Amino acid sequence: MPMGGSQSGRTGDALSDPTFHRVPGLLGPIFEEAGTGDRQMREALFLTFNVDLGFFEARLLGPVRATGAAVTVVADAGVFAPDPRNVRSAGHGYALGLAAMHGAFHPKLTILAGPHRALIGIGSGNLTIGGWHSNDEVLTTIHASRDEGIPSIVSDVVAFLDQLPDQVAISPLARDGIVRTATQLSELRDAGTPVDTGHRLVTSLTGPILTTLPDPPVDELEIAAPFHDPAGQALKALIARYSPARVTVLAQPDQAVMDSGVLQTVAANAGCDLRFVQLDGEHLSPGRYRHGKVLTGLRADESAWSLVGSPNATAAALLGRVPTNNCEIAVLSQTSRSLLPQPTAPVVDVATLTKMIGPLPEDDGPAGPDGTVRLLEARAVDSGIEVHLSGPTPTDVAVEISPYAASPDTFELLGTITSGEAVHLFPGLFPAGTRVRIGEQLQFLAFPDQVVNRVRPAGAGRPNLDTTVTELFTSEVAAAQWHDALTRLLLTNGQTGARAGAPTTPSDGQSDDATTWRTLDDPDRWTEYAEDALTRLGMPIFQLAVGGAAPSKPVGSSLPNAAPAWEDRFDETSEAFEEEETAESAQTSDEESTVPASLSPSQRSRLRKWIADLVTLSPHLPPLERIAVTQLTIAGSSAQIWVSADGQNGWFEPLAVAVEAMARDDWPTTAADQAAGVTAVAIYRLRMAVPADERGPLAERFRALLQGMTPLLERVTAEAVADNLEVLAGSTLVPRSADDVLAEITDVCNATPERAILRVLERVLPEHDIAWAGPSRLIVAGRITNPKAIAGRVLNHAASLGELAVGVNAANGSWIVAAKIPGRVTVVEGGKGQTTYKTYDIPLQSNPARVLTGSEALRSSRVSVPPFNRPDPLDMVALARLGIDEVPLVK
Amino acid sequence: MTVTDPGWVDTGSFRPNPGQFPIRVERHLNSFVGDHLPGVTTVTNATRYYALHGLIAKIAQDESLDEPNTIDLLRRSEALLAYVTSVHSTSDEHDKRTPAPHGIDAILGGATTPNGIDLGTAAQIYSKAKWAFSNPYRGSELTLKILEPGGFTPGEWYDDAAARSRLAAVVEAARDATEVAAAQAAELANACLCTTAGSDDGTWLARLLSGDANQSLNEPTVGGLLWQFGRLVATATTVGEVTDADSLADLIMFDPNLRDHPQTEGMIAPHRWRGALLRKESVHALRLIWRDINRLVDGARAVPELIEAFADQLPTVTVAEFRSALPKRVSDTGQPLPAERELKQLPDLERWLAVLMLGAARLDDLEGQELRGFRGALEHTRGVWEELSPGWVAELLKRYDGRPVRDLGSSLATTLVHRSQRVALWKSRYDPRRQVLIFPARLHVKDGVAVKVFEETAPVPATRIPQYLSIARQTGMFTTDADGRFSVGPNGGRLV
Repeated sequence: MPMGGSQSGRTGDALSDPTFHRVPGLLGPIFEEAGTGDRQMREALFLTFNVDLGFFEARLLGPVRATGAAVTVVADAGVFAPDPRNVRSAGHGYALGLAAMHGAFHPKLTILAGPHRALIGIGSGNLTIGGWHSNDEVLTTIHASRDEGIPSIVSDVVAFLDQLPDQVAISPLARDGIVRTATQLSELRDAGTPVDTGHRLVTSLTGPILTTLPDPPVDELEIAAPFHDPAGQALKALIARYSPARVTVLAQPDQAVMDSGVLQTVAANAGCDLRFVQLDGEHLSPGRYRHGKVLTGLRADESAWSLVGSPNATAAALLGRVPTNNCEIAVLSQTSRSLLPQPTAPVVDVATLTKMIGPLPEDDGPAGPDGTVRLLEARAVDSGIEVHLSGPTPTDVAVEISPYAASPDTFELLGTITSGEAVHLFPGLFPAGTRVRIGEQLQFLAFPDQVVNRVRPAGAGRPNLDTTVTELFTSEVAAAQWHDALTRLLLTNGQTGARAGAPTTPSDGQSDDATTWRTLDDPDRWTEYAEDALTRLGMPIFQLAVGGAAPSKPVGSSLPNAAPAWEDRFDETSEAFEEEETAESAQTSDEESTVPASLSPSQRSRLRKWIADLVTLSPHLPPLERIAVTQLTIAGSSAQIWVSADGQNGWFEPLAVAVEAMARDDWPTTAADQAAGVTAVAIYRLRMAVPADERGPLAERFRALLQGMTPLLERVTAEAVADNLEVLAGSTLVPRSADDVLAEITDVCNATPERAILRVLERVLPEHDIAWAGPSRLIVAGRITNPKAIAGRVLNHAASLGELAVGVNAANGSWIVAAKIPGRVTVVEGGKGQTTYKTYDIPLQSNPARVLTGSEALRSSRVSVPPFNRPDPLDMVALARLGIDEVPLVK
Repeated sequence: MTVTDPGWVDTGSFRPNPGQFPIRVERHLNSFVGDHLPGVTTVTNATRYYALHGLIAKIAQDESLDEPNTIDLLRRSEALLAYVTSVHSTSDEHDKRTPAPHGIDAILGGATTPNGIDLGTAAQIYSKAKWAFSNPYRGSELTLKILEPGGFTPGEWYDDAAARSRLAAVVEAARDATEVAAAQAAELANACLCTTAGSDDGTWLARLLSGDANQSLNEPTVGGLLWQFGRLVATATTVGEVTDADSLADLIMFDPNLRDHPQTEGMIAPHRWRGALLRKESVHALRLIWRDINRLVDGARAVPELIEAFADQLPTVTVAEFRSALPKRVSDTGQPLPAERELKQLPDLERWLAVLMLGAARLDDLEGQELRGFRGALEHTRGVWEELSPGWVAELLKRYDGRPVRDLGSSLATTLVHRSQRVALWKSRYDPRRQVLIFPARLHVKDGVAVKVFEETAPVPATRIPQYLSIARQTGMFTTDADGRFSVGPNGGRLV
């Protein structure tokens, strides 16, 4: 990022990394809560200034809904400018509310509340990718528990929520969400033991925040904020209230908005020493955007109190109150430490700090003579669409609509709200996701009954945390938990398996095999089941099981129809390498292995047993769990845990069992392609263990396995195979393509006996040219020193054919023809010497090839008689039957 | 029960990276070139590697080498070939147009000895990937059947004699050599990458890269399309001057003699390429507009202000007036005219916008195979045009017809900003365990503020034509004169 000219006082010294007082974010507790699977949370509420709905829906909505909560988001209406192509679930997966007021609606509050627990975050981060990931933000996290105590600040939060709808115009459905959340929190508060932790919530609902701060004196104030009002009014008021000897402002050159000259003047006029500091070295190596807001009062060089939350160092945030100024909240606490990161260095050229960007995205000054009537809500009701404004409109306004399936760029007139109206009902039925617009203001059609839909408790099958494939193979604890979740699913089901499978699940514990999965073709049932499966499998394995298209789609937000025509197709590009790449830069490390090699014998043994146990469960599991088990078994086949890598005495049989469980003809439509893709990859992996000559128990098992797979494999697609190639990592010499897998599957599934024999011979005699010259006539050519031995090997591998003529033509001119019919073999040799004809009787159960490779004693079964240099009638029987009228055989 | 005292959030690692295809407008073009120029990619620029990989696979098969030994032989051979080429490049006989051998910088930087290189070290350091440079080439080698799917084995069209003609000595020397002196490398000079055109492997590879001439002209296979493109290039060199991909593209798009040339009569590839190359103009214009939007951000800038600043650069005339001043696009006989080349009087931004408008209009000009090359089949689905496709632009122009071009620019810039963030979010990956978010974007929109994290670029969209011309010249399908003009080369007989 380009940097301006502000320089810190330190130059040339070794720089140290800045140290922040770090606290955990909210993502961990939310994922953890989702991972418990009891879904005890009832309400989730997000209050924010900016909102990035694409980020929210893609990254947060799923885990939050997985906690069991109905979700409500409220953002500032004045800056709400969503990308409509990024919004799928607003109005039905969650309530999207807008707050309209003269000042900025600026609180950053996250609440997840249930009857037993609540999680509350009060900070500076908006509901955006910056606020949750990339900025430096501040936060206070509150965990309340009915069993372990309720921090007293929870009552402050309840009071804030109780007052908020009365003071700020908010979309009605979101207002309902706020009320429900307040109610849920107050019930929890009343049910638990109050604990005073010394933290207090301050808000601008009841008066200017400045007036709620502790009384003077303080010796010094520390301020960190990305915005300072241009006239320095907030600083002036703070100095007037506390008369500090010194004020320290943590600046961020080029990013923090302030007029440093004005601030200096304000301080100088009050006789206060104003220092601007920046992180040491920040002018050389810019860090994250610092969006956190901190005001700390220091007494006798020790911190006395800190205000941490949403208010910037602006008049609108600190000096005013709702509704004419901003809506802000922050946590006031006693603290023993400065919250400024260290080390800092004085800014040398303070003038360079002045930066005014505008219009300020957090221009949280009063909106002025705005009076703009905001579009707050468009709600689907029985008789049409009810459009709610923030107040009576002074003029007629046109309302436009863009149905979900139509292009987000095109709107048509829905009707007009006449002056004086704040609510208007328009006739018409439109689906979820429909966009409603007044001028540039956008909202999404909301369905009151759907925004309070909650994901039901998982019940059986306690959930898995978000364990990855690698973790399953490296953590015995993770592996055990994962297996336990599936086992519990079976032990307690019927239930989950039944719910996933069908209403016809027998109650006597009969396996899921006996049920049908057809009912899962119902979109609602599938959605319900998929959400349960997500909880059981954990997100990474769930995504692996669902296939490549799933990860970018928020769970629980599927729309009733297929993907709209306008949906982005970012992934459909066939350029093998990106265009700015070279062969050098295109190289990726292909050294990664699924499993580290350094496992102890006992660990290897336990992992082997884990896989064996998993596949035993598989035939009784619902669809996605069954797919996941097969995928894990494929991935496990290349783990360094088997006696030998080739499948013998190891991974072959567990994988074969897993594949057997895939042989169903009633896969739900949504999962069928993925099931076929996974099965194809599994068969490809199994095929690697089959010996080149396709003989022996593994080959037999493989052939038997294929018998039941045809219906499923008939629908396999390259895309589904490609989605699952990653589970082959480590098992193949070079990365395989979907075409590789499909070619192999086609070969093994569709081969005639002749093709199968040719495939075997090509593998066991790779140095020779082998081809069928006609029905039952096979020719081998090449640098061959012993044609008879080669013919013998061919007859061995072609034992399944009752009648066969093998011609072997050596490059040196010698040749042989071995003609086999039931009970007899005729051998014709020639080339270098005289051509000879000999015929042998072959008793049943004997190997015909032995006349070519066995001892002279075996040849006593010869039935033709000398002279051998011309065929006698016996010789001609086999030759004639196989249509051989001249030797040697040629193509 | 706890209250975590206030502090700065530990959001873990946020890992921005520049990413590529920031607005993803090249989907159809990439798909088109993948289908119509098989066997060539943007990274397969040294033709002799095709032969080397086939030869190593053949040796591994013949000698039943296991994986470690196969990789070892591959790496040593690639490293030695690179060094041989590097040594030869200092001689007068070396063809300076030859691409640099893969990994040579690493070899010269880390494996040199007083007399040459330590081959063992070179083979270790010249590539980080286990299978070194066989990976980038593998797709093309499978397409050309030099290798076989399913392993590192020679394919149906591998020609052992041709591959060995120049490379056998390199591979044999690479097997056991420790230090390779420059003098020893010089003895292997006839294996230098620059000698491919005049050797047996060049003849063989030219045959493969010439495609299949025995295909139906109007229903060709992929091999037939490759042949048709080669023939189109060969014909173009007789109609006008072909010195690079740009001059070739202009001939294909705009030259009526090439369009109606009897040599290409009945073929579909020339028409499709005409459409695709016209589409490339629009794709590049969008990239340039996006790059220019990024250039308006110096550090950070509020998005509304950014949009306004972009729009302010555009004229105040209406869209209709602006469009009416654009050059004529089509001749009376239906031949596309080089309107995109007649905009030089316009400032850059207006020129990019004009190219977009021309592209939208060409949607109605083109038909048949030209239209098929110009737009993807899925770009118009259930009555909805894909965002930023020519049809989408046409609808945008229609909506803004009577409004100022600035309003149009504002809308377009908003669309591009939104789209760039959707693309980045789509490409982003979050690991909840480690709390690492990888976010591939050069411009991040944070809380309504656009923050430039990396400089944006606007590369010319990939058509694979530059790579095709390079490898076709290396194989002798084409040759160039002293002025860089292409003509059919000694191995290009199948194209004429």
